[in-house]
Amino acid sequence: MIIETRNLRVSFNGVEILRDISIAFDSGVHIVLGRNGAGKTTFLRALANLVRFDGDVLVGGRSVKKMGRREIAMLIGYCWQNPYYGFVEATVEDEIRAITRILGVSGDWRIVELLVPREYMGRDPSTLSGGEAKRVSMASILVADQPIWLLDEPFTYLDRDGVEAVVNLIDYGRRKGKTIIVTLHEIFYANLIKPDTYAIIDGGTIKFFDRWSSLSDEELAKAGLVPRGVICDTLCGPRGLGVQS
Amino acid sequence: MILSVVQEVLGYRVKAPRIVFSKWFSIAKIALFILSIAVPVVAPTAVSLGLVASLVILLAVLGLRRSAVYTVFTAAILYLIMFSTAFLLHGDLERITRLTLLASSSLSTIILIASTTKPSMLRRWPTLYLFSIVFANTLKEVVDIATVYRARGSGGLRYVLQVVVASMAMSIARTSTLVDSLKARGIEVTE
Ligand SMILES: Nc1ncnc2c1ncn2[C@@H]1O[C@H](COP(=O)(O)OP(=O)(O)OP(=O)(O)O)[C@@H](O)[C@H]1O
Ligand SMILES: [Mg+2]
Repeated sequence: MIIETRNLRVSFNGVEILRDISIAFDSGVHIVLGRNGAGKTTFLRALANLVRFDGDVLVGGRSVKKMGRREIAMLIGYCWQNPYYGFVEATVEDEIRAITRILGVSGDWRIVELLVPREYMGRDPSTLSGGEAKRVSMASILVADQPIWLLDEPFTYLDRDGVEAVVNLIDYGRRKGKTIIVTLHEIFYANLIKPDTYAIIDGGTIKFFDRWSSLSDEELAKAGLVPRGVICDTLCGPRGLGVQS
Repeated sequence: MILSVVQEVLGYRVKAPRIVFSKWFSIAKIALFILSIAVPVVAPTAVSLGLVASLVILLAVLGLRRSAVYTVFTAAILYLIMFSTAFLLHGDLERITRLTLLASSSLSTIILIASTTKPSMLRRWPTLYLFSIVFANTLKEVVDIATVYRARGSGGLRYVLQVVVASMAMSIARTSTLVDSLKARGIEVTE
């Protein structure tokens, strides 16, 4: 399903955070890069109609402004950045079931299996560790099996197993034909999820939007992001881990 | 002490037996709440005292021991303060007794309701749902904030004030993110 913006503008207290963004994402995996404060979270929140914006956001050709909250939640799975700020229930199981009850859908429990180990179910979500919380928080939205996923920094807090779980989740979503938009503030994880396209937000607009294979270090550096060469130099090169001269 | 009671109440909702979340129990809770206000106002002291005692025992039986102790403890302190003031000023001693009984009977039913109501039970009423969620999330963080101020060596009235101010600011900030999380799940809440 296609999600697109037309002249999207968002401002907070008179300060323009996003200006005039027109972009479209079809099914596949897309990453949105940008330095801290560039407006990545704001962009995703606008797509899900969670902030006031000018212009329009169309999902499958229809404006989100004309849809009810329920309808949007059936189409768009928005997973926020800080997992702790969104827990609403007393146990993990209730947390995950909440959206299925609210929307009256049975959900895709394979998604929950990919993210949340069984033994979390009886726990209080607010007592989970960072990585555990991130997994539960994403499962609590994506279980509803929406065609569009908005994942805000899905790798934060995660250890190796957690990263692997999210990579598998994104793979699973891709195979199901979902449109997946992932925000990242560095490209380290992007290589793992093999995105189809990348976009860079800088100065309130989309500076680059192209196929992943054509991303250049120069573009990254210009947008205040760590270029690939630097990551490789420090990790693999002579100045790499533990080989300090 | 109050913080450990808060922790007990919030923790109880996770490990409580299924029965306390049943429909009948909810009806009983509402009935108890009404009784806990009506009885101390109209009934003779002995009856009200009986009610308070049974409520405290109920809390203890359910496994909310700290809350039971806390109810008795605050009632005793409250009574002592009010009684001595009224005694010195030749005030109405019976009214003081009634007030104390009213305070402790409603405190114990509020604790009972808070510890046996899951947010999911309030989902049909978005505003109430949001309120209970903000309330629980704020309380959980108040415990953390209090620990931070303690660790910084704050104490006394200053400590209480700092914690109260920080908690209020936080609950306002939290509300907007929780509203997002409810909307993402398809519940419209007007801010
Ligand atoms: N509700 C709000 N009110 C006022 N300003 C806001 C609000 N939300 C975001 N901003 C501001 O908008 C800008 C973009 O914020 P946003 O959270 O979208 O950035 P981001 O790219 O997601 O950053 P990060 O990588 O740190 O997550 C920031 O300067 C932020 O302070
Ligand atoms: Mg962000």
